[in-house]
Amino acid sequence: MSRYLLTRVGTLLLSLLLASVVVFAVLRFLPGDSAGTSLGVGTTSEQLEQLRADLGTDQPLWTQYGQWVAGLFSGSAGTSFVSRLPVGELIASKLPITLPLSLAAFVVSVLVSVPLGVVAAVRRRGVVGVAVSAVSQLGVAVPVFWVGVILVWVFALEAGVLPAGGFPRQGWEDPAAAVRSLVLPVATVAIAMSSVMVRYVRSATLDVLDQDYVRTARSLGYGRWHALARHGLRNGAVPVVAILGIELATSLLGAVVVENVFALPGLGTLLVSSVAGRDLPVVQALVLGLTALVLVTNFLVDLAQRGIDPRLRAGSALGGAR
Amino acid sequence: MTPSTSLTPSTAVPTPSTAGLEVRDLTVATSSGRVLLDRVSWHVAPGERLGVIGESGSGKSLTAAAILGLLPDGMTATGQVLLDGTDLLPLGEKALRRVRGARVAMVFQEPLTALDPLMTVGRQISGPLRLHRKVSRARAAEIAADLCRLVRLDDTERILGSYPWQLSGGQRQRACLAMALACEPDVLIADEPTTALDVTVQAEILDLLDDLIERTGTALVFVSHDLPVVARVTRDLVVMRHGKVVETTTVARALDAPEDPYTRSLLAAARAVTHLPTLEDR
Repeated sequence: MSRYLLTRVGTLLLSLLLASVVVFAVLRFLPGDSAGTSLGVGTTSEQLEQLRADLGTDQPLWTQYGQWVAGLFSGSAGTSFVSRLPVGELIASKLPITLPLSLAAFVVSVLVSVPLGVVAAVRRRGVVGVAVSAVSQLGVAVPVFWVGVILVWVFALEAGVLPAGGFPRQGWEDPAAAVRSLVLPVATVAIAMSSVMVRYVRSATLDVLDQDYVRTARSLGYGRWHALARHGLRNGAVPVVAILGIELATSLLGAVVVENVFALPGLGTLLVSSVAGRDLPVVQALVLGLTALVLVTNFLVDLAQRGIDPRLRAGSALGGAR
Repeated sequence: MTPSTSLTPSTAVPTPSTAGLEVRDLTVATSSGRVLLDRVSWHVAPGERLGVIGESGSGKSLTAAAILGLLPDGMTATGQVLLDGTDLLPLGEKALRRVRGARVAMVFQEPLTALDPLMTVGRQISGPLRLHRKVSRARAAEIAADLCRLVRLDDTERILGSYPWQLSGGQRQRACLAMALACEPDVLIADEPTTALDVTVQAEILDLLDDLIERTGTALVFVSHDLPVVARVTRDLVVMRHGKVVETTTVARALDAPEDPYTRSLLAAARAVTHLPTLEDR
């Protein structure tokens, strides 16, 4: 195990390093000049040169990359070209919106989709099973922002029970208002995610239900649900955990879209405005951060799957025996 | 042997009491009305053995599923399945659960898939004990170790702590037998229990089965397509084809003078296979 862990951590670090190179390079080769964008039209070339020298963009690329990575290791992600604030501070100020939004959406969608998916599988020919499948199909087909717009229309404009968008100026100092402003965005992301996850949970459960060992359990006197709980949870968890990992990343990406629909000043809004303003330090920190999150999640998914399935721990020779 | 649970008499249909397991005019049909089992009848007395033989698709396994009330969705069974005189067919799911594993247990063809790959063999064998007998985890583990010795699984400690995929095919089927016999059932239904095993292991399992039935007093219903295999463990024989019983006979009579043409053809097929010329014959 420890040797596996060492190799896996090594791979993770290497992937992160590679990701940083790719993120840095891609952003440098995209069209658009940071200095030009921030100064606007009608500036002299001397002013541009001066600004480029200030920002450090006149340095060779490898020097810029080296400075960036060295900064990251010392805990600094650079300074925003636009606001001249430290990037870390800028991102940290947006986390109290994006983090609760995506985590709540993730938790809600797990709580909704796991039971629904299991019921839909066990009662696959019943009314509930067919209804769950049909509704989830609809949920997958409909774009996230459209769900948001419909929710705003129903709950904010017609019923008037929740705000249509925005976040209280005093933030989490007014918890009730902060929560109220996050309800519809969370629901929007959760609906989109649950629709996808319900289908995975349903098919994982169906897969388990068709297994011989469930038949064995039934022949020994276990009830349908009892047999499923005894054998389904672990066996079904292996594929579902992989999906959860992907969906955790999806919840962050969903937050990016939904923040713009609901005018929430979170990471998504920051990302969109930074891209528009060619604010490279902010964009590359955000993109690298998201990439790192996906890589770390995958790493954790791998560990979780090994924890669940002893065949994965036994090595590849036995791993295929099933 | 004392059954750990008894059936509620209120739900039972009064019938002339017969000890053992009796199937009377058992008919299984799909919701569209297709008849898959047609008035199947046979009887196995306590401690006795019965071979149910027929080609694949003859309804052998379906009979077993109908007895335990585990037919696939959309199939219905009529007739009677009498366990010590009590009809199991009208019983509800809850009452049936007290029969399955405790009074009628089953062993399946493929021992690898019949066991949960993510659960240790020990936990799987203790499962029915914890379910039906409500014994403690520690007590169940003790009984599981005894059961391992009963089915001649040596190196008990290691086997109980292993996952099914860490065992050989023969060991897995022994574990399945231990699991099925855990609650000392009155009847054991073995559905092609040796078909997935290689020949030497097959012989070991058949010997074990023979010995277990002798020692535990459990009645055995041995389902197979293979007459020579059935002949090793049973005397009485039911021959099935296309969902019907075509002949009720004994192994000796079937081998000597089979009445039904289908039984004759099964025998001929078996002889053709078992008497293939070897290098020494030339």
